[in-house]
Amino acid sequence: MSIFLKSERKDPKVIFLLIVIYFILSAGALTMIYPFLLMISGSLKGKLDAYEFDVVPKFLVNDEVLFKRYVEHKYNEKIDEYQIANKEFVRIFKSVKPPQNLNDVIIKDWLQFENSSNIPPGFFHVGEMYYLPGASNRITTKNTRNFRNYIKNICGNNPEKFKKMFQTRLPNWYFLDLSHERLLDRNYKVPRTKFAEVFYDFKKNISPSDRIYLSINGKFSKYLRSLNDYNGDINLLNEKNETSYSSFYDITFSNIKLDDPLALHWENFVRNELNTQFIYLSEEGNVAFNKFLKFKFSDIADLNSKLDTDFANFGDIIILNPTPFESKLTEEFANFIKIPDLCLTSFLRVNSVETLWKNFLINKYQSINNLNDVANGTFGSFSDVSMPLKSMDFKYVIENKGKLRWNYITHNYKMVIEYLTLFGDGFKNTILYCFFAILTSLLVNPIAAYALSRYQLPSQFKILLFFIATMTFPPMVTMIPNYLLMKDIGFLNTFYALIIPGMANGYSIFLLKGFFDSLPRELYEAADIDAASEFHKFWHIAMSLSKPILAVIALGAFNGAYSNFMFAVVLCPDEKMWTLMVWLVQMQAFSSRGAMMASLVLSAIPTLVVFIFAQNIILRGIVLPVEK
Amino acid sequence: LTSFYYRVFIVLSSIFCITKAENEIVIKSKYQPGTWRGMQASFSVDGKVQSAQFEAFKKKYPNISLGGTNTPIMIEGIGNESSDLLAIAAGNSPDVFDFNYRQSGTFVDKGFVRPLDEFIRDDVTSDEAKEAGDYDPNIMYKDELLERIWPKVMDAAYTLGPDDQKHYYFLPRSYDVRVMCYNKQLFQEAGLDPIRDVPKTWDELFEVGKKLTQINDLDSESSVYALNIGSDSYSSWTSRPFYLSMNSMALSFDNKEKRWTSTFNDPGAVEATDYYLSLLQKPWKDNNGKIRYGVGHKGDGWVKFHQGKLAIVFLTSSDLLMNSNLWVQSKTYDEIGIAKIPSSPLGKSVSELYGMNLGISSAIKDPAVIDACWKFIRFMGSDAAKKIAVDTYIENGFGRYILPDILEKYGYSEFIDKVPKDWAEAVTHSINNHELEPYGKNTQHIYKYMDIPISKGYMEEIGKNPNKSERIAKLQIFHDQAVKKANEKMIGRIPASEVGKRYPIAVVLSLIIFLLYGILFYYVWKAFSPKDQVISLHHSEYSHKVNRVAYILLAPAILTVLIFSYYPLLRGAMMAFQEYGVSTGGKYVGFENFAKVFFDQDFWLSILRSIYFSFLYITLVFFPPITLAILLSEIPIGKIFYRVIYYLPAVISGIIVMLMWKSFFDPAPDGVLNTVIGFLGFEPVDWFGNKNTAMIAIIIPSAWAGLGPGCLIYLAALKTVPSDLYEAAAIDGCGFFSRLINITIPMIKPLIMINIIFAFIGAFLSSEQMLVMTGGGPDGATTLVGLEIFLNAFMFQRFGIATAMGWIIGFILMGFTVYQMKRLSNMAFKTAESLEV
Repeated sequence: MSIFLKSERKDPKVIFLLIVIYFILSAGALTMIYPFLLMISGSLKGKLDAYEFDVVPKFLVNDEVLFKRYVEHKYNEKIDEYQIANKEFVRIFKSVKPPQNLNDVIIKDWLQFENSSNIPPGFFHVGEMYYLPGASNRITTKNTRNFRNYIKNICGNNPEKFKKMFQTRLPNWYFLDLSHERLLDRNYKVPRTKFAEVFYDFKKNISPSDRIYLSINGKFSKYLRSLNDYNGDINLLNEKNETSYSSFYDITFSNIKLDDPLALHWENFVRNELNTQFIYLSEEGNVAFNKFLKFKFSDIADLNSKLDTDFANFGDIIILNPTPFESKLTEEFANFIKIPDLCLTSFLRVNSVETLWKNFLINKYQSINNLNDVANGTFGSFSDVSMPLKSMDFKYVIENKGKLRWNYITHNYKMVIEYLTLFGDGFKNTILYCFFAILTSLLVNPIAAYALSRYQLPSQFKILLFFIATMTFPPMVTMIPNYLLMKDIGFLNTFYALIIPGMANGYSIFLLKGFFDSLPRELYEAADIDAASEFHKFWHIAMSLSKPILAVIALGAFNGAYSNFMFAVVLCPDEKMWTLMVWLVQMQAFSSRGAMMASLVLSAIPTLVVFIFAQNIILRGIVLPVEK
Repeated sequence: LTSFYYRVFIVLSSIFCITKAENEIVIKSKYQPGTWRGMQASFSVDGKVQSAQFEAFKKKYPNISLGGTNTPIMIEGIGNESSDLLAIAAGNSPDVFDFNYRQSGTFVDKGFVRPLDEFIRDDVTSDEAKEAGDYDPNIMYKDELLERIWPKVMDAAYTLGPDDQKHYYFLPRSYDVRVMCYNKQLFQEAGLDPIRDVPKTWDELFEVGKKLTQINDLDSESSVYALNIGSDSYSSWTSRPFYLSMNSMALSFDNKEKRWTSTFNDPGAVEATDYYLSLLQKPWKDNNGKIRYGVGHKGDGWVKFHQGKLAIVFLTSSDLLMNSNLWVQSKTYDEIGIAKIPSSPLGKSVSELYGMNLGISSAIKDPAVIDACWKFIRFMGSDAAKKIAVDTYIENGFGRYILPDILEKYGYSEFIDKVPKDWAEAVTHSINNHELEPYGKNTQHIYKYMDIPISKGYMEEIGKNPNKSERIAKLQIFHDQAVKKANEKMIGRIPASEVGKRYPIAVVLSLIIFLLYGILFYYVWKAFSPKDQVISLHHSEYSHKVNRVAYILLAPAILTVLIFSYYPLLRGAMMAFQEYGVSTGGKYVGFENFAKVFFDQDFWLSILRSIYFSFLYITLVFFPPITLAILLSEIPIGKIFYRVIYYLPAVISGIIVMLMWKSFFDPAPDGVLNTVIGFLGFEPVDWFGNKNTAMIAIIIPSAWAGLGPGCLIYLAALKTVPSDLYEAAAIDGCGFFSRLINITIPMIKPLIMINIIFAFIGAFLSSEQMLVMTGGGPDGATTLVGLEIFLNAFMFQRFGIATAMGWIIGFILMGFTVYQMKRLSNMAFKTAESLEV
């Protein structure tokens, strides 16, 4: 009963006190809910906004933040990749600004270009595929998921076939975890494996919005920036080369320009740094390359056997078809272009998305003035028309707001669910464990308590003491021997280890016995007159009258089993026996922050459901001590 | 039952499989070439190298295949060292172990790895053996052995086993040394020359750091840090080269006594710690005249390094490829620099040598499996495997980043000219001037102990003190304490005279404990025996029959309790007198364990902490629900609404509450809790980094989650207070508080008393919170006694000592339990429903 009487509630003093109480309760309620909301909001976040603690994530309401998130995901969290593609220096994705104005003509042209030209898969990276390597960054990205599914389909959802097909020891495709491609770098080559082939088949078919086109200009700017000659200082570069660039990223080189003072750098860059797939030779260049090969190999048969090729004669060897796959011939090609005496500068040609784009524009407009007229531009030459990647990204974001938001809302959850369903038998183990824990605690304890209460054994108090004295044992003393006992009787890594020791609980028996004692004796006597069986009396009298308290015991067993982590992992270290909780704790160790929050939210659902349904039972089953 | 059939099926099917592929030998290996943390390292060059090596092995030995996985379970603050030891403790060990030097001592000492002597002949070279005519290709001869095992590693690999004889225990598969790596672009931005201005001494490092931290000063979002200082238990790891450059070794081995001793309290070590703290805390004035402290960054450095917000890191480089570290593999010479570790005031620059090593489990008995394991560990890391690695690096265009002498050795001298000279010099210097990572008994925990002086110094802000002699004096004390602790706890080294003194005291104290336990049992027994013997009414034949039924009904419960509570109790009592090892079994040592525990300062400190924790727990977790229940029962409307809201946290299970809060306790100013307290006008707090706040931070989640469910029982109890008492009080003119104190509280006092003792005992013994949130840190400030026992048992594998600790705690809590038992014996339990008035 409330301390204030109902009649007192009109007293202003009491009203004041009640207001204070309401205030305190509301403030408390806020501290209860706030972390919850943060948890839910956190489960929607990515790397960009993981450390912003707001109840409503900004990307849901702000297009600019959505754009930043999109860009971060698309560029695989790698700011380098963004800098090169967009020729723009930003240190972190948070500082990326949306494009100021979109040029519709250029965008339309770009779309036409993208659709009409056949861009080789080596000319772009896959976006939304990787994450920054690190101890706690793992998140399953959109295209990794697509790729896994792609492989899953190829193998007909059969792990054995997968292992055979790819010659791998991985248990299944979930474990595929690709590292970033570095297709611009000379020292990066794609191995000729089945796996890489499949990846490239997959890559060919990704949607254009997921492509990260490789800008050689951007890479070159970065290269210049890192040269010791200029020490990262554009003024120094301008001074030494008598140029007037305002930043390294303004330097464009869509094709060879021999008269430019920076040509020497360009040459060095192409000869030594750029991946060979972007380089081809002029006709004279090919002749020289053939000469080089002839000098190195005695005849075409020798070359074919040493380089694993099948050319009919030296004249057939032309490096034209850009491919990032490793081959011994490209090795030779790389050796050749490094030597300025053999491979003259004028031999070198570069082919990339940028050159394709330029050629496309030239074809379409013939002269730059035509383009400037249509597009309202002030371009000096076609080389100045850089790829409108940022505009395309922004356009994509604006047109797909809802889809992207939904994607970011769900993608952490998707990862957790995938992880849990694919790894081991977490669900099955948890359900079985909870089920048996509830079942055994509802059988063993009431039966024992009933026996004690009904039969009034001469030794009943000693037995009760026997049960309840276990509460005085320091758990630390029994923990280790218990563990060893489990090991000796072979219970480790089985459900027995989790369930059997917890079957009987001294305190529950004590509570139940006290409760059964308080049931009216007359009921039993009436049953005796009807000659009811002992089981009947137990089930229909004792048990059915104690439903609330039994429910509380069951709930306790459920909570104990569901949230058991320490003993679950110590007693069942084998992965096959891990429960959801162990898997989730394991996942926290490496997953991204957003995915971690999502796992917290998901794991709270079963307990929330149980609480909602059992709320009233809990309240009715509360047991209070009363002095005898 | 399903699981039983399932198991039978698995066993049967595995037998079937074995008979099917007779020749195939499967070895469960911890090392899985070609995968990294269970994931395919598909396009990375290391993945390619390892896959190629494994293919070559497979080609050579088609009948040997690899099983097992390497998914580790992580425990906070203890590192992945624990997963191996837990697996071994569980009898689930792999056939081939993959471990580093600091772990090697434990693997040898505890008998986990078998000696490899049968496969090794260190007296003759292979040529000599061939001449003598007893050459066996499966044997590793002197020449191969010496090439495989570097001189300094030999001491760790050829070492005293449990039988006090020297044996070979493992073969290295990789070598790594630490070098300094820096972002050239950031150097440029700071106006430094990325080659000439590379810091070569400690002072230069600090000066360069000052410049680097002033890049982008205005934009706080992307401010730049100079170098990474590992956080918490990693700082001693990160700073290792500083100590080695001051000639400070972590441990030394006494050949005469055949014992290890920690020695990291020499003047060199103190000097190194002093410098290290200055990197974090030394005050200096920036260009704007603002006072700043230190130049280092504490926390996860790698992501910052990748984002270009951190300029210098100390990373490992392998003995083959200079930029072998996964973090920098994609960077070119133009982007990053590699230099040697800055020299100490002694003018020395010494690197630390790491390496992974393969050993064979001593649990294998089948000679065929042992032989297969030997072939595996011999191949991985052999010259042939290295050749494959170099070939693969070259093929992938890493030619210019391979060390020149390796290029020479494997016939790729055409690349030598292209190798960056400064890199090659730095890595070669580090390879030639290295010391081994600390190794010895239980040394996998050494970084934790070496971290003590650093974190103590950090917490006391010693780096800010301008007086050097004061700093040194203080740090010397911290170092001495840490060394003493490491010697006693990690190595188990206690002077003999001390042992002689301790033993008798331990005997007396232990006997008192056992005696008191006996008295307790008698006392409780009496409390539970009813005062009036009303029961002995049944003597007839019938009652015997009935009694038999009763006993049958009781049997499951009695047996369970007997087997899983009483038997372990007895066994625990025995174990407290044993030195118990998982693979060695029990050996009686009398009262030695008790002697160790009684004189273990950490143990008593952990008990004090537990008491402190319990009181905090009572104030912050136990009482608030009572208050809440009283407030809730006062309000006329909205009771259910508030009740549901306050109950909400309870739907998240315990460990998850802790994990969630752990992320809220972010020490950054924009962490959740720091934002909130910042709003209230407080300075940001390093929650888990500060001794005082760590304890509170651990309790807050329990308080939050326990409020709602805790108040339910009091709500029910308050309902049973008869309203006529309040009416009478109202008539007497008593106000709210006087009614509360004189009526409400006395009415629910029995409930409070019972629960408070449960809460106290529960809090006293809790360990899960710390295990999840702090791992016992900072500097042991949250190592409560429960955690202390857990660590002793499962991390140090000292079951005997852990059990002895358990008994002593039981003794300490005895008073409470007796009181509790007595109360319970006088109580009846009723559902609140039936009591309502």
